[in-house]
Amino acid sequence: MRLPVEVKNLAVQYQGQFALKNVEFTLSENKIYGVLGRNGAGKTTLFSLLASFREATSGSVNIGGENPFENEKIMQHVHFVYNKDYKDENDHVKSILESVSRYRPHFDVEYANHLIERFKLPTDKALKKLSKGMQAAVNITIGLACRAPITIFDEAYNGMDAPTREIFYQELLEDQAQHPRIILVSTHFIAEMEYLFEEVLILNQGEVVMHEEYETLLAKGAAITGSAEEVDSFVQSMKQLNTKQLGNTKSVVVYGELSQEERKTAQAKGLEVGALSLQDIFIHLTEGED
Amino acid sequence: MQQPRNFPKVASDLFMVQGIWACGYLGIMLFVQIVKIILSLLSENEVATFFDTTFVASNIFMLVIGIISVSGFLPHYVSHGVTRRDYFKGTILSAIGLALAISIVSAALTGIFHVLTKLLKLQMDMTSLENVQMDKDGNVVGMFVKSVILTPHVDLSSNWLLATLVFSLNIFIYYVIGWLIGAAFSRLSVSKGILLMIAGILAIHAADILLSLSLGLEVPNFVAHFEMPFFIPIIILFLLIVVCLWVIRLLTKRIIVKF
Repeated sequence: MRLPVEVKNLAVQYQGQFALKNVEFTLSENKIYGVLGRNGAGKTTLFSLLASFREATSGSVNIGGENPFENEKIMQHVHFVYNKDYKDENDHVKSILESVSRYRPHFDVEYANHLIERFKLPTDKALKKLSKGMQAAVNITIGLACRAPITIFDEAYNGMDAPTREIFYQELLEDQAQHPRIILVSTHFIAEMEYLFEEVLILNQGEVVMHEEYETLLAKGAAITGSAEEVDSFVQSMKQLNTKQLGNTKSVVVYGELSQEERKTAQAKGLEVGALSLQDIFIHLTEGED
Repeated sequence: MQQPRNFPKVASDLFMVQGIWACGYLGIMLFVQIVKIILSLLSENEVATFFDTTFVASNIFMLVIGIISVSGFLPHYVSHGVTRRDYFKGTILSAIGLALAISIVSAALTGIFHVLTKLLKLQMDMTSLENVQMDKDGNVVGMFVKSVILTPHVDLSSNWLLATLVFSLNIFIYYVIGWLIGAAFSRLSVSKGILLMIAGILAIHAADILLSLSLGLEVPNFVAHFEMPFFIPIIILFLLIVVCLWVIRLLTKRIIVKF
């Protein structure tokens, strides 16, 4: 099942301040989309609109060609995973999953049980007694097992330790391969998670400043490494994002696609042309906006 | 893509959850009643029937669980893909079921107490809410407290079916008013919430008067001279409930789910 998302001229205002403005994008393929932005960039507001938690001030959101707000046909297929607070929850994991499964048409109980084992979630404890990391794993379990055609993970892994996050990444990729859907992932662990993304949206101050395929985005720049003098002379006319130096070896991250001629020049000068990291681009596109 | 409608599932889930709370509440009331009976046997004091005791206490129970409905249940359902409309319909159905269940269980337990009293030949003086008189010159300050205690009441032994239905209707109204207050505070500012809370208290008082008029019970002086067939106040009462539900729907129709 594929439910394309089309967002047009979207704006959300809180007490005169724009949380989102002029947001436009289309997500038409079943892929994993990285949605990146600094704190307060508008990611959670955008997700709230997709999940029908609220309405936009202006503009439109269409999912599967329909407005999702109060639309039973669409809402049941959109699942928003966030850091849900279970401090008052007396139920156990299995009863929560059972309750959720009643409202999610694609929910897979066997897969949910598999995830409970993978995350080593205790089934005999009330949710409020689980650690923050375990509670996050419960949210992830629900999010994956729902297999909603549009699944949103909004910083849902906060509190999970590195090995548990790794299990999540493995499960996400494996399950996406078998049951493709539109998955939106927001994170501040960019370096750790960028290999998951097939397409990337970067939000800054409520606006989409970049929407590209992951590979295309990485081709928008390069890391030039070599002797300090050669590197300096090669990059002097380029937009420099980041510089590192150890002894006489220098590495400069530049933004802007390198032409074939420039690549040949670099090679002739004995410079190494490496790939740009998503984190470098993200910092470049969102820096200095505090 | 089309799934079975969600509101029957919401109704049954809410009935189960709130029913468990009601079991806890009735369990405590049952324990208190047994203690009161034992004390009355020892001291020869009067004791109210279980039906009368729960008739009063259930108002508060239903008011409280009505108040927490919007903040507690609505975000849960919307976050699992249920529309606010289905939450609204499901909540009405579950509240009706809960009101009927509490009154039936209360009536049944009162019957069991009665049978046991006869079998064990216990000597007890039972009081009735009918012995409690309404203060006809009541002021606004005490209105709410009096409304809870002096709710229109039919004695179980005189007409068990009518008594149980009046019990159900009464606690259902309290649930609706609690729900209205909870919705108002969730959606509106504190000052507007307080205004709607006052409106809710007035609605409870109006509902009491209408129910008393239809049952031929004592009513405040300012309405005592109205004479009308019993079904007219009942129709007005149902219209009042519908208006309260309509306001709740308006408040929750586009409510933002915060997290």
